[in-house]
Amino acid sequence: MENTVPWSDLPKELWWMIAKRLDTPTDVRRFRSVCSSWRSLFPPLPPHHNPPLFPLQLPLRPSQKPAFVTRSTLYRLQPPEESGPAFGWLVKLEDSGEPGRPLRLLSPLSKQPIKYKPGTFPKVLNTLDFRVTEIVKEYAVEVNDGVNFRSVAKVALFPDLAWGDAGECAVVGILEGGKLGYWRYGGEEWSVIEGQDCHFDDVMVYKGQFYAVDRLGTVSWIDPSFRVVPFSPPMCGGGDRKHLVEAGGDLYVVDRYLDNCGVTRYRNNREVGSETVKFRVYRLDQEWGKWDEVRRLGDVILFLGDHSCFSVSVQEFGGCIGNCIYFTELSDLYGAKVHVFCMEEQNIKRVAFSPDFLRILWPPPVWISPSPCSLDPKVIWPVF
Amino acid sequence: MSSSSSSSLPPCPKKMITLKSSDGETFQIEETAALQSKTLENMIDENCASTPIPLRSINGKILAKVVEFCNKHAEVGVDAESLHAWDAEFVNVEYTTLFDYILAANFLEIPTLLDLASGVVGDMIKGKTPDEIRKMFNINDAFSPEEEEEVRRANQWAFE
Repeated sequence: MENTVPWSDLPKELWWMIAKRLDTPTDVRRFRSVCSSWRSLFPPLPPHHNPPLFPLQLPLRPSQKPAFVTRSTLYRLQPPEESGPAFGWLVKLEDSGEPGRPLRLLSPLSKQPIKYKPGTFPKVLNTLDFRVTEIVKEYAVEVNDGVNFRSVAKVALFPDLAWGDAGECAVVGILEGGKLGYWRYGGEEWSVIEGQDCHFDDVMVYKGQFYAVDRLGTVSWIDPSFRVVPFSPPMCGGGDRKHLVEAGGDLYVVDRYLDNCGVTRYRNNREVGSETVKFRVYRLDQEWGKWDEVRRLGDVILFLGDHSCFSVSVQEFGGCIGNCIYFTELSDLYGAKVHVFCMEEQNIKRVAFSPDFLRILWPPPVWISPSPCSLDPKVIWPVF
Repeated sequence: MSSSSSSSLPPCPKKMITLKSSDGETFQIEETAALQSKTLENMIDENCASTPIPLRSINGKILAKVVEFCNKHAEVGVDAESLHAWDAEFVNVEYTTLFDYILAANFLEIPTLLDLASGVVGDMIKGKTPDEIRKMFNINDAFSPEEEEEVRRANQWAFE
């Protein structure tokens, strides 16, 4: 880029103002890695960025071992611009409990660790060599041994900003029976949000606020005093589970259809899985307060994972296929296997058997792992 | 019509102040719009605004844009959404201009403009490698070996 502007002459306090606009720990850490003078603008990030974020207990079972909110971060990695077309890679890392502890590479859609053959993946990655963008942070309630309990189906946490104060944050979770509950940092118990007579399916943070969707597809806003305020009309889709996801600044509800119409069946006292058969996607028109069905996602890919839903654009990942939804099944029976639903063909594939769809997830590109990981079924099948 | 206009008060003359850029151009701006600048507000309060105010660090091209920004933000009845779109267009400028906006907004103490322009620069930084950022801003300030080591450690991912 032609550069005759004396940016380096910009007073320090103005750089400080600019840096305050960076809200992810990754961007702040990298800002401090540019030069001595920028480095001296801030101290290293405060230690609350080392989860477990905060201790709490599992709802309804207060006698059990204490649980924690844990965090994983999804990143988009890209080579620097000059190294040719952006061919990005989607990666999820479990934020380790303490500094210096090795990180775990997880499936972007679940908590399933990715195990690779020794020597095929670098033991240490120097992230200064490539572009790193945080896509989403996801949270789970876990006890010490990493087991996630069904008593909190999903949680959202806010705020979790690089400059935030941990003491202000709270989690909103979907508890047993589809009730919404919250736990404030430093609190003693889950508070069930009163006045709900509906079954909530999903919760997320959108534009700095908690939002939840119930089974009829009504999106509600959870106000700062934890009251549920209806935000949209019911979507009234015919599906069985609703997922909330943000794409391009808009709110979408993805309606999942299950093969047994959502009725839970049991065999030998175990829940028998209901398989996903299709999805329908609706965008909330916030100006007119109505739902528009979206039949084509274009260059957008939606991800419906166990702990978070998010979207990416294929432009950032060069060479992958858009207009589709990556998802995991809801039932334990299927493990964390990743499937993809193509909006165009209206069919479902397992990504482990579709290299074109697997590519965004595995194997890592050659600029990450010079001795490329093979598509070894032993590695791929258990995770993807 | 005539009776109603005769009974209404004559429009209050708009109080204007004059700004003079580093290259000698002069600009008229309504006092109400100028009040967005804390620097100008102080001068108005101290009655120093009756003669053209010389702004030696801002050239005519940039001052014209700053005046345009203040006028737009002083308009009554602009809804938040269209102002937001206008702002986005306003900072959709060359790199050099953005730098001048930041300096001008800082000198004149216009928090809305400073916030807007520094936000754009912040967005340019996001995701980039430190090397790309150094090139973008022409930074040649080297790290000490100790800092270099700290930087390396802070940015590495060590796997199990």
